Amino acid sequence: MKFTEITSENVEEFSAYIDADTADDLDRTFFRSIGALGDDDAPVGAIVYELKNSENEDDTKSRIILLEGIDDEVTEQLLDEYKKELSEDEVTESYYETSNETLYKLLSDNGFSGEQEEGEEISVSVEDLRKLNGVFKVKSFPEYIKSISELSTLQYRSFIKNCLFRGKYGILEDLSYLPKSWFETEVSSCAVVDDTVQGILLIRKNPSGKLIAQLYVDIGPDSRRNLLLILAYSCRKITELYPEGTEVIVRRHSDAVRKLTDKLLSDPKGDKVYCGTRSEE
Amino acid sequence: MFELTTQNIGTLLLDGSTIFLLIGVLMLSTIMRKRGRQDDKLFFLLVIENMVIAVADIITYLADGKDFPGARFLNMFGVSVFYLVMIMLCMTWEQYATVRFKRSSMKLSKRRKLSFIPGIVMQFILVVNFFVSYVFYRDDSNRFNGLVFAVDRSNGYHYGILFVPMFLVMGFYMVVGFVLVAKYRTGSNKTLIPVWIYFIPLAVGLIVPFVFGGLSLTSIGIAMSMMFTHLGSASEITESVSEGGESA
Amino acid sequence: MSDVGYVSLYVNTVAIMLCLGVHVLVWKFKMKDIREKRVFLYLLGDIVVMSLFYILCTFRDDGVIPCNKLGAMFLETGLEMAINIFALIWFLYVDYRMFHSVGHIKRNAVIIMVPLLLAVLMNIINIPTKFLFDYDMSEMHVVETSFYVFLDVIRLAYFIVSIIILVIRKRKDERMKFFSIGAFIIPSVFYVFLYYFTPFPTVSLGLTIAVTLLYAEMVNEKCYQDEKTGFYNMLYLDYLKKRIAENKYDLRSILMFNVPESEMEKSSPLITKQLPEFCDTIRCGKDKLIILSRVKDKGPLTMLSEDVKMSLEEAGIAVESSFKLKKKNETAESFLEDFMRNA
Repeated sequence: MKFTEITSENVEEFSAYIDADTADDLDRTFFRSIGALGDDDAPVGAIVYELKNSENEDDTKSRIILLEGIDDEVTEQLLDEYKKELSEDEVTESYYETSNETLYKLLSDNGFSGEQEEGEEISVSVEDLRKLNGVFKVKSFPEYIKSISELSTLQYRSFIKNCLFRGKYGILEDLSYLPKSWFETEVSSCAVVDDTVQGILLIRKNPSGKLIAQLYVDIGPDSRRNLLLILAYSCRKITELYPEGTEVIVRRHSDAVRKLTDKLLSDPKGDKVYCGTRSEE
Repeated sequence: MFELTTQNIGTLLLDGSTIFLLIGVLMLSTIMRKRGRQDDKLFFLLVIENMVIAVADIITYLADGKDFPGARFLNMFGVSVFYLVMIMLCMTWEQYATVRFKRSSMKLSKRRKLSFIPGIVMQFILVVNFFVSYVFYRDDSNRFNGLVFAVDRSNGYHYGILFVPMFLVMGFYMVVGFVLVAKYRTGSNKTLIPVWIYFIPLAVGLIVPFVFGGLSLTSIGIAMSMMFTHLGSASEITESVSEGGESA
Repeated sequence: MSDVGYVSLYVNTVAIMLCLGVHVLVWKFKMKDIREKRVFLYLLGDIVVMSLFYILCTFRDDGVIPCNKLGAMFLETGLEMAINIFALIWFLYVDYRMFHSVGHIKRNAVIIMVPLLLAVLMNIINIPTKFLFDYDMSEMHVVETSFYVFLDVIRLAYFIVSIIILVIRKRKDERMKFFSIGAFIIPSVFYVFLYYFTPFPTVSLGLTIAVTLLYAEMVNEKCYQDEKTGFYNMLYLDYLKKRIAENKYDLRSILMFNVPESEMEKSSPLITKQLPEFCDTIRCGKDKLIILSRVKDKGPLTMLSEDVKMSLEEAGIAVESSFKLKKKNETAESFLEDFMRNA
């Protein structure tokens, strides 16, 4: 079996194994992908993973996002190839989170620990957001709350730098490498005070049409009020611009996000997923 | 017996405020002294001298006219220290202005060494005056007022023949210092601080008590003048400390 | 005039002289932020007004200026207003100094102004009702009621909240070292204490000394700055080295720019525009700037480097940049030493 790097140029060949949303991320700085090719050079499987802490002094980790193969032999060989690649990036630990029971069993057979937990991601519908509009009770938004489409590149980059230098990344390891246009600029909102961005809610739209919250932060003196207003603004924009069936994904990666979703949504629960880790040292 | 009058409390308040202010300025100007510049060291000396003057002033005002044991000695001592350190302060001020504004070196030329002679002589006279006046105190049989001043048996104060020359000597150094400040300041019209700001507090501090009596404003007047000059000149003279030195 | 009157007159005259002197010095002081300078000047101006009112009240109490009851009450009310306004201006000064945001002040204008408006209203209503204080024409002095404490509480609220904001911000921002809480609190509290336990109005002198010490700190900060570019100088780097050695400064990365010496002054505002908060920029040579930060990833440093380069190249200034991240087992001290040695 041969292995090849999957990039945006050849990802279509692996479309049977890599969905459109994952394919969209392959060009991102810390995403890696290995494709398995059969004897006739036809794609037979793929693994996609994201590196964490690869540019700093902390231990580098790898999150397996996708592992698909035509059969178990392919997936096992992909895992072996994956392990070889990890040594080049000095990865010390791999981990995963999946709802796929077959994948969980495969990974468990290959040295990964595994247990079932509530997943970090929760899905919010447009209807839920309409109810939230009622909870926020904002009749009209102040002038300084706007979409990020109204920001200049300098304003956007200045704010992102301020966030990064304070250690605020949201769920984006590669926030410093992503341009403003990568986000859904009409529904992503910000608070601009004295010509400076103070707070932001960045939302990405995947090829499948899902909206995913990426970064939600305010670094100004009125952070509490601004956070509420920018969230309310984005919710209203989403309900205005997107149809009922649109899914909004929120990854509850920190206690602060968890508390917020618990407060705003009734009984928010992630799907049951399998999680596990494996040491790569 | 010792009794604290309202005037005494007022003097304590004003001189105490001088010391308070100067301690604060000293603590906050430690970074300036780290620059290693000579004028910063001279400013430090000015502040210390000013604080000593304030303390001597307090002692004098507390002892003046009182009849508790040691009051006359304290009065003589306080006033002597006051004038001694005042002369020293005036000389330091002149040296500070020369180094800071005229940008001369601390090393004294022959001419500058000669210019200190009146001050040194006056200080010697004050030391002699302390002993002479204390021994030959003024009373009905002896009308000797000391070389510069004397304090009589009832703790009253009298001027001697060298009292006015002493002020002339102080005035000489002060005026030379201020002339150097006015003449050698550099900067644009925007940043140049009006020179009267530097000597008006001192003038008020010296003249008002002399004319109206009552409390002493000398030490706080001096403190304000010195502080305004040193802190104010920070925005007048350009410098580059990047290379750890001073330019121009 | 009585002895107490003379002392009060002298004390407040000294306060006025000191205030006016510092006022001129600050006016001529090169400050980047004009608004900050303006508020500081208002602070000084208010102390002068306060001192004048103290003097007039002293003359009133000593019978130097003939005054009827209404006049006496107006003078006292004027003094109280000056003190109330000082509390507000102080709060605004601290708030602006911390956040440099007029928008923030405007949006919170109601919360900020309500206590002052309440105090002003109380003072105005007091003139006919005398529920806060009254002027005893026979004894020639002010008599305070038990309700007067509410006025003190309002003023104290401004001070306490401003101190809290200051303490919180100082923990996060290294540059706030040039705003010493002690320099303000110690003289203010001490002289207010004296005011309550002696017959002398020492409040304005205490506030003047406090504000003068804050000005001295501004001058202090200037010593740490490179005159031509406004960035920090090697003295500041020495200070940061001490902080690093004491584990009070979390240094994780250093970014360096080489800008031709002749272009350094021209490029400094362009570079400043690109700099984020919470990093320290030091001019450590004729053509070298270093930025010390807590960032531990390459991405933000690359972003900053690109933005600065682009900005300078648009202005026709050639610039070279490089950066280094602290290694896992390396101490911040040795990291900085190695970097400076090789720079």
